[in-house]
Amino acid sequence: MSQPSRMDLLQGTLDLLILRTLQHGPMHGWSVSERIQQISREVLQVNQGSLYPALHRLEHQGWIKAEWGVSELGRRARFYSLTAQGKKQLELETENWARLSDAIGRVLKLA
Amino acid sequence: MSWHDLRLRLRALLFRSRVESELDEELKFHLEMEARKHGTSGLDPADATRQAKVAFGAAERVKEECRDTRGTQWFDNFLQDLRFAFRLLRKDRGYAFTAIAALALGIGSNTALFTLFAATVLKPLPVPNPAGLVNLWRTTAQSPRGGFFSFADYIYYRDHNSGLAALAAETPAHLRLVTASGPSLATTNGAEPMFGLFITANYLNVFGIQPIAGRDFLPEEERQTAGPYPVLLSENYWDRRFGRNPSVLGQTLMLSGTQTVVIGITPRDFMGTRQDVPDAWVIASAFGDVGRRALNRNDLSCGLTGRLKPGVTRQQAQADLSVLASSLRQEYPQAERQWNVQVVPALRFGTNHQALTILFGILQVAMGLVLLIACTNVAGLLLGKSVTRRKEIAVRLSLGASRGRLVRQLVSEGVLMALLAGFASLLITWQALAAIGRVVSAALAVKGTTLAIDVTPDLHVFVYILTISILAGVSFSLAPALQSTRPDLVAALKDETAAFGVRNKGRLRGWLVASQIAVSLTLLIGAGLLTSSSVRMVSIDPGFETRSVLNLTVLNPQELGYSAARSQDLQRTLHDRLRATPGVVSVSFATRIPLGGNVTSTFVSPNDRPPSATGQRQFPFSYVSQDYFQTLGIPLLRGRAFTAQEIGSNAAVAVISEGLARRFWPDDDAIGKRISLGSRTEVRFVGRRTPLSPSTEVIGVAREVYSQSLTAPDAGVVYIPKPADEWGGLVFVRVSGDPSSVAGALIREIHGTEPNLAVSAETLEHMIATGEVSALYRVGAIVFTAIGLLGFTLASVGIYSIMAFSVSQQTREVGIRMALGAQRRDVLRLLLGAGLKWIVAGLLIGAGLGAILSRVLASQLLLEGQGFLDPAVIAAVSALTGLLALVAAYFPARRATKLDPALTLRFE
Repeated sequence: MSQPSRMDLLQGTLDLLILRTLQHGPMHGWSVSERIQQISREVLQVNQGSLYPALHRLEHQGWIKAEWGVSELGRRARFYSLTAQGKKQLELETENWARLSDAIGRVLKLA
Repeated sequence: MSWHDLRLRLRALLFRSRVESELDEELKFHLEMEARKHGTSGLDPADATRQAKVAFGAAERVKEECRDTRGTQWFDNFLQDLRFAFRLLRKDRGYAFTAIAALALGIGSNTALFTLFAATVLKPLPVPNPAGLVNLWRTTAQSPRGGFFSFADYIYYRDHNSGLAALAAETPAHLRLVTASGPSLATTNGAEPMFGLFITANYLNVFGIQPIAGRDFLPEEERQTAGPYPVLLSENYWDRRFGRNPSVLGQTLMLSGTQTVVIGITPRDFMGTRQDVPDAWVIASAFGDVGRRALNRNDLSCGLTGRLKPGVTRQQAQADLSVLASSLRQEYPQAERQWNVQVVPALRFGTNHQALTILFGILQVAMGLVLLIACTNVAGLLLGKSVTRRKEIAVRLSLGASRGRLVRQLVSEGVLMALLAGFASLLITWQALAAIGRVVSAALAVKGTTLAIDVTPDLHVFVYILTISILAGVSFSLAPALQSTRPDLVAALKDETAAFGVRNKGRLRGWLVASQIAVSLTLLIGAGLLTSSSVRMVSIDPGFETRSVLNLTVLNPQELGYSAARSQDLQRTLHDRLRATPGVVSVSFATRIPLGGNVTSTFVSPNDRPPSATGQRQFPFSYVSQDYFQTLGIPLLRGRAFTAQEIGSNAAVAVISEGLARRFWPDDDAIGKRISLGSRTEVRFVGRRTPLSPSTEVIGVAREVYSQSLTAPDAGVVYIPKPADEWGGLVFVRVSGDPSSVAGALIREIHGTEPNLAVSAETLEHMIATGEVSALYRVGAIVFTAIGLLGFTLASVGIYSIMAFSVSQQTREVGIRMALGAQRRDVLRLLLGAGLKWIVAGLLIGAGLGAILSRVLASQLLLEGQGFLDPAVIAAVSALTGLLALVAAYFPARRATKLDPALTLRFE
């Protein structure tokens, strides 16, 4: 409504984006949201309110794990990193996503 | 649920505050980073922080969602609900007290019953390794429970089985302690009753019990053939009778004419697999010569208890013993024809275990109904309460609380109340039962036995209370909770308390009234049926005269060491002196009480048919002297009674009852036929004698009497002339005039003849009324009446409060109607009519349930001559219940009509 150039995330895609972002290494919550916004050239607006429940959910599923560390500014922060199980899940979901967007693309072109 | 998930959930549950502060810190860090970002883009710090918060959204909601992922939210909610409920209860103490008291009555009565059930049925025997103990039952297809074995059978099973480490035998007997060697132990009135068990030498060993003083029996003592025989006393008896005097050890006791010596004391409350603690344990050899008993397969007197070998299951032992039983059947086709053996876990109350379970089942249903009434009662209270809370609930609903959450909270309140009530009832019933137990065992001690039931609550009882409290809490609070959270916000917020058009609100209340009436009516019908049968029991005609016949029980003088000749003389003198007493019509001696008491029975079969045609069957018998039938007023249907000559000469003649005559000769006259009686039995104890006659002539047929129970007449009895040397310890005296005035004179006559004889006298009527059989019904009637009244009291209070509440809800309607000119009578009719519908519904359902209950009672307790439906009882109880329910409804309704219409209209 307010910013037509920004898109709300599709249901269920937030998990995928978080997992993909964490592939580079441990990161705390704020930098995950910043990174998603930067890389998507500010198009994808991560609802910060839903970021943390999503992080906690992924942790419960065992795809990421959390550890307390020291942030770049010397503050205590909670860092998330991918687990082995999370890496597998990321591959799976990436594949699914590719298939889905490919299929949608075809429909949009040809239907 | 994965491992990570479980680990994190546990962590959240156990380290709640740490997890919470971590979440706080994480979100705070995020906000700081966000604010810093806005700060670097030129905003001042306050604006930056605000901007960050806006971007983040409601922090509390985020936290809530994070908590949701932990899956421990329900627990936090539950704690929160409990705290809230606690505050509410403290705020409204009157309401809380009423509800908890009603619940405590309901839960408490259930707990009391269950505690008794757990103490008697569920608790294992208090001996080492009770799981390894088994009882052996001698069974046929017709009587699958608990028959006794002959000593010969015992020896065979003991020596041939391979699954049991040891097998012990016990034979119960009523004994008399006559004299003791020390002066302090002498008895005052000649003899006192004692309950003893004759046991094999390995008995205590099988149970894993050692004497607390003295020693156990030695194996060779089991083969002893002359007194004094060793005897163990129970600690209970040692304490009660001898005040724990240690010098009792080694003393000689004269037990029913046999010399015994005390060698040890068994631990307090040890009772084997019996239901009460015996006074004495006597070595089996004292019961009769073991060598000769080992040959007799017809003296069925031994209960068997064995211990399984380690590693052997009960099923394996069963298979092994079944093989032995079948080889016994082949070897002794006469005696063992259809008998089998069954191995059952050794439990207290052995053969009565199943009957007790059924009894507890019936009572549990009744108690469950009381609890149901209590719950309905509290549901009514809650419903009333919820109306005053409508506004609170509506506000919370409109602020976005989910209905499920509110229902959960209201139900938690109920569960909390029920748990408090459960806790209170646990303490009360525990103490009450312990007190009742002390009174009952003191009363029983007089009869020579000790009841030992441990009512200390155990794990079973705790689990039971917890379960029924939670079930009760949920069940009574769910319906009101669902009803009061029904989303009807607008009306509630406008404070439009029920007036016109909200008829369906009354439906739940109506059902509450109906179900309370139904349930308490069911209980009262049960009580009414039991009461009426216990009344009939006393007035039932047992087939013999009861009012004008006195029964004198006289100690056998041979138990005092008198010679046979002297006691025979004594008996003759007694007969003459009693007969000459003024007011006495006739006197007769017999060996058996006509109702109750020990049943002596023997094998009886007709001689004109091979034994296989009728089977080996035992029937009760009694030795009787002259004038027996005349004294007791038992009519002879055919033939004649005994002559004086037959009584004196041990003539081979008998009078049989009509049932026996019909069984043996269905189409023929029994008079002149011959029967064979008994089999060779050796019994050393005085006063136990069984007839043995291969050919006895039937000279008379007597009318059937009720001699074993009052629920059905006997299947057959044999009367035989009493030999002159047989002590007829039971004297029946027919009197004219008031029996109680004659009784004193008779006792004086006996003491005048022989001062040492212990005597008691009562009319047969009194004996029946106080006997075990009628006591069972009387206690049943009292218990059911108590339960019924408890239920009905609770129900009346419930009906009253529900009616009062619903009338108060209709105050405005009443005001308007009266303002428009309605008469008080009309209003009363309107209010009562609404209640009446539900009362009638409750009565109908209750009468139906009562009919079902009475059918169950009839099938379990056999109320003879009383059909399963006694319309008079059901109608009377229903009318009474309906009337009282109307009274409970009437008062609130009348109060409403007394209100000033103007006031009620201005009420809001």
